[in-house]
Amino acid sequence: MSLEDYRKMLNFCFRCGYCREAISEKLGVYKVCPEYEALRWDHHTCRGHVAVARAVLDGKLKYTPELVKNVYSCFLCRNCYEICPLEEQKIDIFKPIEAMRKEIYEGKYALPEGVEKIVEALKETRNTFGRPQYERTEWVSGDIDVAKKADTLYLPGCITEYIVPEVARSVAKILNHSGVPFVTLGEEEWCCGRPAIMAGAVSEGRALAEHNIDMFNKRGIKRVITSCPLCYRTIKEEYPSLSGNYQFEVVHTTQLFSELMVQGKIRPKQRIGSKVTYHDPCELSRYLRILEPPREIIKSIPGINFTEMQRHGKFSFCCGAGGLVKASEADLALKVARMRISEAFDIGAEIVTTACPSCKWSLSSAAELEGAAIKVMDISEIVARSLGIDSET
Amino acid sequence: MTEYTMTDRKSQLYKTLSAIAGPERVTEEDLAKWAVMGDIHPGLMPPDSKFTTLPDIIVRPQTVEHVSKILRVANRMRTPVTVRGGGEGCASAMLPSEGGILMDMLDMNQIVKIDETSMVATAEAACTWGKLTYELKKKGYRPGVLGPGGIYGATLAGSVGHNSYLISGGRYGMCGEEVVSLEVVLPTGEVINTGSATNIRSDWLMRYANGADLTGLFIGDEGAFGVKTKVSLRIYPLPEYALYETYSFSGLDKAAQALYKMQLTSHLEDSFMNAGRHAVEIFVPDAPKDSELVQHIILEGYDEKIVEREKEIMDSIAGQHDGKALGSEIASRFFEGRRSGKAIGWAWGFGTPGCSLLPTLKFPEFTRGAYDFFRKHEDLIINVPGTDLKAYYVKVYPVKHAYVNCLPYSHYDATTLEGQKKGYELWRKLIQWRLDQGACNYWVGLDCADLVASHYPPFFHDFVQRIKTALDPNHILNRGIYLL
Repeated sequence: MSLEDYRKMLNFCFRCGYCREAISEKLGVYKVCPEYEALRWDHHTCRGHVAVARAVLDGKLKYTPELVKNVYSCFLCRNCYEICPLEEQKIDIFKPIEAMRKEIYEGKYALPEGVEKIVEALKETRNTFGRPQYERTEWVSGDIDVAKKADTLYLPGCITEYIVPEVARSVAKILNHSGVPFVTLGEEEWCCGRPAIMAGAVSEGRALAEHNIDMFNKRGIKRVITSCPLCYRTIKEEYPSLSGNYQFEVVHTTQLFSELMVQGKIRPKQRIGSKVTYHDPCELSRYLRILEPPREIIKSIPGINFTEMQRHGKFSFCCGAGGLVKASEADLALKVARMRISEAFDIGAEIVTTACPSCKWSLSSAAELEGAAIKVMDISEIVARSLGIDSET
Repeated sequence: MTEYTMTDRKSQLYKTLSAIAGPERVTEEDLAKWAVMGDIHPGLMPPDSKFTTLPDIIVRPQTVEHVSKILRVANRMRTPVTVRGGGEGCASAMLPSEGGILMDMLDMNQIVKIDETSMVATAEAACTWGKLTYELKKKGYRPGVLGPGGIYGATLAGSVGHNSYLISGGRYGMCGEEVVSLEVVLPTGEVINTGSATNIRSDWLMRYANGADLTGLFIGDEGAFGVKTKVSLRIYPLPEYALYETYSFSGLDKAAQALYKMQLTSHLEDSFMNAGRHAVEIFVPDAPKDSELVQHIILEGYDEKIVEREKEIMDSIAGQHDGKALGSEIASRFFEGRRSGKAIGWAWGFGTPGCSLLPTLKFPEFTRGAYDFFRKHEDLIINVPGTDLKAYYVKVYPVKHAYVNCLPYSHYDATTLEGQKKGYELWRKLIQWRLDQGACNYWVGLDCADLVASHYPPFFHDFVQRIKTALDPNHILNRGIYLL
């Protein structure tokens, strides 16, 4: 879709400003936009992005370096979509933003350096970090049993494999513990494609996705399990349109763990006597409405004192890792991450759980910088610990 | 006075404003200028409007000292300044008419003091209604009025400058009536406080003290007379009981009589009416077939028995005018939504607000006239989504004891520029029509200032001009308001 395709949506914004600030106890919303909270200019709000996009469409603004920077500073967290008062024509800014990013990429305007690096890395190495593909498999420790053949695939995704491999190990151990045989794609796993699409390199993203679909089908995969919400949404929402041969289902680990609990295959037993909170990843809470399964899992663990942060559920606040902002503007991403982690301090949480490797990465960095005695864990890690099968934490 | 060329002037401005507020709070970027060029007035995205133009520079002051220094610089350089709050006003009050400095107040948003002695909350200009209500509730209080339709983004000073009609206006009246004191930076940079704060030894706040009510000078001024940097409002304990009811009336005149009597009891916390059969068909399709007006009411108080008795009185008044009680559910849902920021009709996009202040007993005739007006312009109005009904209607809100805010409202095709142009034209015609009926605006932005001023009596414009000149001799602040 081009930016022009969104003209009607953009015209429909009447600048009510709910996307800039909304505070309502009844709705459970306390401020909205991480970009605005960090930068405080109207062009860093949804309605500001709308105004800028309209001005681009009308030829009043060109893709200058400042404008490109602005387009890549949206976290795509979709909190503004939640609060938008319009009904049938809500302003879904991530769509025009992605269309603008596509125009920027295809128009050969200079990308922010970090974004350019990601696109180049994806072209060369098929992962977002430009690292060797063999490193993708290094998380598989000797105590993990990866089946030679199974119709269930565990797809950890780039960030899990390269940055937070402990999450992959925890997931795999839970699968082993539950008697769920699984395979991986190993070095043949490519990035899900979403980072390329978010960068504007849509055709490159599609090529990555098509490779993965091909791999799934060649290996007879019926079920894809992933612990990455970004991979999950991409496979669930975008892969079907890329292949007429979409013969698999995809589940996120939070859904899988809930399922395994109902089946009695997971029974948390070891006490975790800590004050624990849960950070909703934007992709899960707002894009996919997976709100209760992670909470039910955490609350089922003995000894946990579960407390919500002020902002949670569908109006949760971004961790700072969304929208490739971590690549385009690292300082901005970190500032938002620090805002978010400070909410966990405010309620005295000792452990922040989440269900997204990007969130874990971002919040862990912020916690470290704040020098806080707070641990950020993926939900798989806390479940594994409670099952007594995790040797890492 | 130093003479500046245009380039010198802009460069000098940038340097000076950066020195005052910090370079990170000053921008000349085009995209930043485009992003602030709009409020929620209908139609065109300014500066397609002939009344507005892009600012030269935007600055975000953080303190009253910053504001004062910026205004002094603007005076020295004869540069126009436009003050902008949340940007949720109507009619382009906070858009520049001639470039210059746009002063974005949103960094000044803190709650300064909750004074339980005077029962007054003081907050910086750009504190939003949502934030104030949220923080007050923690202490068991609320402001009287709860904010305008755009409850989340609208700021206190923006509403005061706009003279807004706000939620719970049925009991508390227009926004300005709850203001007890203002801190204002005059266009020449001096800082004043109004009300009892004019006694330097007073550590409490009351509006009518130490002489003339100068607070009122700055209410509804759309920023033309000074920059409001702090607003002090009355606060009240949170009510403990609430009752709701919806009534259906078979005639507008009977409904107006009923509302008038309800208002005179002073018991009404707030009310909302869908006036006219067309509005009833759109919003309350299950209402009785003879219904010409559906009214929702809310009563609140601290004693259950008193609130129940008030409800009996309202039922009785409605009954005396053939009003049928339809139960509490719709009204409860309506007020719950309204206080959560759901503005009626916004779900279909913004329309042509015709906020019209009138005596309560005059709204039936006005409403009938408004429907005639809309019927004549049906070709410009879209359908209610999913229906064959044209999207125009009249909403009526009580304003304290005997007035209403009567809103003829319609929706145009906002998805195209052509549709927006038509919507804008319709809106201007509507303003003209309702001013001709003797109804009054409360907002007077650039996009309607000519129409409002065309209804001034002789000498009035001159009188306002004299005040403006006395306060703003270089005529730098919010140019174009009141056609000044």
